[in-house]
Amino acid sequence: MTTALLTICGMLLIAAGGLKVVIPGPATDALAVAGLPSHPLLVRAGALAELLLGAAALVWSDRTVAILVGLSFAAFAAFVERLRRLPDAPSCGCFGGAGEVPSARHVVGNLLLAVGCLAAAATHAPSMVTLLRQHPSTGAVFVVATVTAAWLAGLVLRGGPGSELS
Amino acid sequence: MSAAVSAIVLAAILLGIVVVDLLRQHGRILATLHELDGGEDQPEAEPPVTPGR
Repeated sequence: MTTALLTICGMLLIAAGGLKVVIPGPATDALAVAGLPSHPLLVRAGALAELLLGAAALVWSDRTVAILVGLSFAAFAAFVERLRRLPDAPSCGCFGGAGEVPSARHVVGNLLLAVGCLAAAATHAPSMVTLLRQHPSTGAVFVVATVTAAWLAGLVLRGGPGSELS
Repeated sequence: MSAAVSAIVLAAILLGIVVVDLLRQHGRILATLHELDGGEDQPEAEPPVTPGR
């Protein structure tokens, strides 16, 4: 279970980081509203680091990487909670979109993923690439399932499918 | 539990959440449509005037 959670977190970091590198606007606005340092270049740099951390989580079976991923999700949870308490909370911009509602679900989801990553660090969970090398057939099923799960997790964290319409 | 099985279980749980979200949203859309249907009657538009009559 911990390998799956760590892999899903890695994929989410890659997706969210990649999108924010391209579209830093909503995250920049959210940081400004939360009273944190905000500049598109700063957001792009952070997003690039996020992307690289996600890639590292997929490649290396390293305790430090798993802890860093877990801490980053805990930090995202704290940031979204801070936004949620503001009267006119804007989009959190986590995935580069303008309609991402900072919801309790987003906070809880991030916290659960953070706990999963810390559990992965504690249990020395193998990375996705290690799993693919050791058991190619099981690893292929694992990759398909985790890509699907990461996509669904992205939808859930953003407030559900079609949330930008409501 | 093997990693692949746990990944499938996680995907299934997340799919369940997404489906519930979609059903809720569908319910909200239906409720809105119902409200619009049951709202005040709009005045009927006058028939178009044919030029030359």
